[in-house]
Amino acid sequence: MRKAWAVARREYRSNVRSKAFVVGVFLMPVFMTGSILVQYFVEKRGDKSVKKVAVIDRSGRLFGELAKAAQERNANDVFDPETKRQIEPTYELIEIKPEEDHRAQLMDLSEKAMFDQYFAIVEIGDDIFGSSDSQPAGFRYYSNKGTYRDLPEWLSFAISDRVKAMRFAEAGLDMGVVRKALTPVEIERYGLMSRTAAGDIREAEAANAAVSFIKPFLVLMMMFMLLMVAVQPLLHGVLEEKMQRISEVLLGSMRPFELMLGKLMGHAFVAVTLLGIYAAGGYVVALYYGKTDMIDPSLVGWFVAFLVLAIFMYGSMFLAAGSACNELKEAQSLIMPVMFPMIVPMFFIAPILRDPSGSLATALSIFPLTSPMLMTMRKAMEAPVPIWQAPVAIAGCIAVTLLCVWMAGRIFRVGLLMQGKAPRFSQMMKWAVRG
Amino acid sequence: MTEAVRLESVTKSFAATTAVDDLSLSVPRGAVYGFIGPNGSGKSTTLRMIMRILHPDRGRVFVLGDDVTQAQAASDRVGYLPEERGLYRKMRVYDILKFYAELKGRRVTHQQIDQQLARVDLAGVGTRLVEALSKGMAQKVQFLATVLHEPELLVLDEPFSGLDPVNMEVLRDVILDHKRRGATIIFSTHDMDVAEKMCDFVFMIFKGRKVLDGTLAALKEQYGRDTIRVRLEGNGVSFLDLPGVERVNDYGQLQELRMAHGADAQVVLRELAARGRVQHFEIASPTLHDIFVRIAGPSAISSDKAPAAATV
Repeated sequence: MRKAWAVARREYRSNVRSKAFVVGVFLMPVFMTGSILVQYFVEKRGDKSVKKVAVIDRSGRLFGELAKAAQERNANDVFDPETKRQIEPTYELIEIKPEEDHRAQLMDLSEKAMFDQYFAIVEIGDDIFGSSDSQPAGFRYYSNKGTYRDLPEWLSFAISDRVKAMRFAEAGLDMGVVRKALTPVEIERYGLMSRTAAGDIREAEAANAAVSFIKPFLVLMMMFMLLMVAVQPLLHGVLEEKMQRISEVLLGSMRPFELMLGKLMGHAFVAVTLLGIYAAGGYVVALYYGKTDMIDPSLVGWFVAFLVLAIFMYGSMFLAAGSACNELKEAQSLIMPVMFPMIVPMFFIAPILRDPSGSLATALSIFPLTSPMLMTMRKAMEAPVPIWQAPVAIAGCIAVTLLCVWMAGRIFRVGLLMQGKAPRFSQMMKWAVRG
Repeated sequence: MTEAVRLESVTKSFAATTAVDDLSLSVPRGAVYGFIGPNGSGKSTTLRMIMRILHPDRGRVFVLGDDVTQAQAASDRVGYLPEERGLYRKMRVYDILKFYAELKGRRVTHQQIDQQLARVDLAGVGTRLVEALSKGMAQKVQFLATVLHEPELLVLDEPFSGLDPVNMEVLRDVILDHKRRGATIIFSTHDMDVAEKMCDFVFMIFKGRKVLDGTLAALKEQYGRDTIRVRLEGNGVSFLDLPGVERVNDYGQLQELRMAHGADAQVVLRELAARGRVQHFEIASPTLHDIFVRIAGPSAISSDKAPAAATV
């Protein structure tokens, strides 16, 4: 054990001192906030262009109203409410008289749109006021900029608003009365009521999308990131030792199992250090905004426990794969089956968020290969995890981890002295069984 | 216990090939024991079994009194320099030496390290990164890592390979310092000259089997004084068809003649004197090099059966 600690210390030091670690610690948050800030500013800077829209109004009654609506929007709705600066483009509607050959006319307009004379072409049929139940009347929007959503959305809203108003007028109904009658009912969402430590009833808090969606998502991503940070260098490290012929020197001083254990401990400490740095940062931010009650100490406890177990579980497999290979390329194909359980939880984020207590969520968060990521994610959600599930998940995880470490230790011992062709997966399994 | 290492009928196979076949060996404490043998004959496998890196299929290995095939090895009291060696490239020399000493349960100070570095002409490199060292320097650092904890047994696989003559002498002196300290030294080498000059005992392994084992003097005694070294004035003297001579090694300026069993050197001398002017004539034992080639030369390698063991 003393030697394993010496190895752990060396691994820890050389990793924490490495440029990659320091860069990772500072750059990760910088990139994350950076990408949010960039989006924010790009949004702010806005788009001040004028978007010209060719409108063929076959009904002959809508264009005037529509042009008025566009002018109103251009005058009122394109400014930032705080800074009063223009942040959205204005829309200029140009009326095109319908021609006999409407296909030829559309072709002609399309060519002009191709050279950016128009942003889009709108064709309103003469049946737009017809209101048969079976087939709602529509208008056509032609554009080669299908990803730009704002203009068609505004057109859709504006046209149907005017068409409705005209239909009401025709039917002799007062628009104001109808609008009032059609006001939708809104849902107000809350968490559950709970009791304080003293036993008093605590009011339910208004549900917060940030807490219910972003928190579990962040916890899962954090777990994934820390696992990668810890586990990837294990593979590179053991390959370096093999290629630089360090392994045999080490094996002259210690048993392979001690060496492996030391490496796993070292990298588990690296990940916990990183977690500590981020947790401290998060705490300072929470303190600043007075939201320290959002931090759940028991969640941190579960997180650390599952993180360390997962590093030992996946890490030992990475080490086994690395020990059996002589170059990174070979190792990467060998670790595919190990990477799989680390990636799988990503596919199940949505169904688990939707139904955190369902059978799928329960099964995957207890299954030992996926439990480290998914059980911590469920622990970060509002729906409580039944009290027995997390301990069962931990117990299963410990059992599988022990099995992984034991098997990897046997592969490691054979693999480290192997030179030449990388073994197949089945061969490695044979080493694990025979020793 | 007076033995540092004892092997009892040790056998180790890899897949179809038997690397070491029923090998027994006893290395007395305080001795310098040289392992010689052609490439692939089982030297490194034997050393690795002594280091408990490989487990023998059969037989037992004792190191410093501990049965390493059974339980915990005495690895803290052993220093091992593998044939293929390397250091962590991104570590400072101080850190790497401290780390290796720590693996042997020793704490060393920078001062102690500086002393050792100075001993091998590396004063002042302690703060340098390994990747900034030349190959020879790195090799000496590696050697220090092997001996820094003052082991009772040194197992060195080809310690001199790739070193220039100056560094080789430095290393040899340090090794002999450790011998004087009382350490047992086992090393393998391809350099017969080194083996002949440094070793108390020479052990030769060929095709996994022991073919020589004993003190140099005893080995030479066994082969007898069957070698004649001659130098004749001028070139162009024929050494063909000399009476009683089995084989001629022509080194250009010097010729080595191996005599058949029972042949008379005086007859050869008379014949040579008849052919030219003799400047030098010496009756001697074969060199270790010659013995090596006799055992493992092309004719021996082509034969399937290893020669019978010649233990003294």
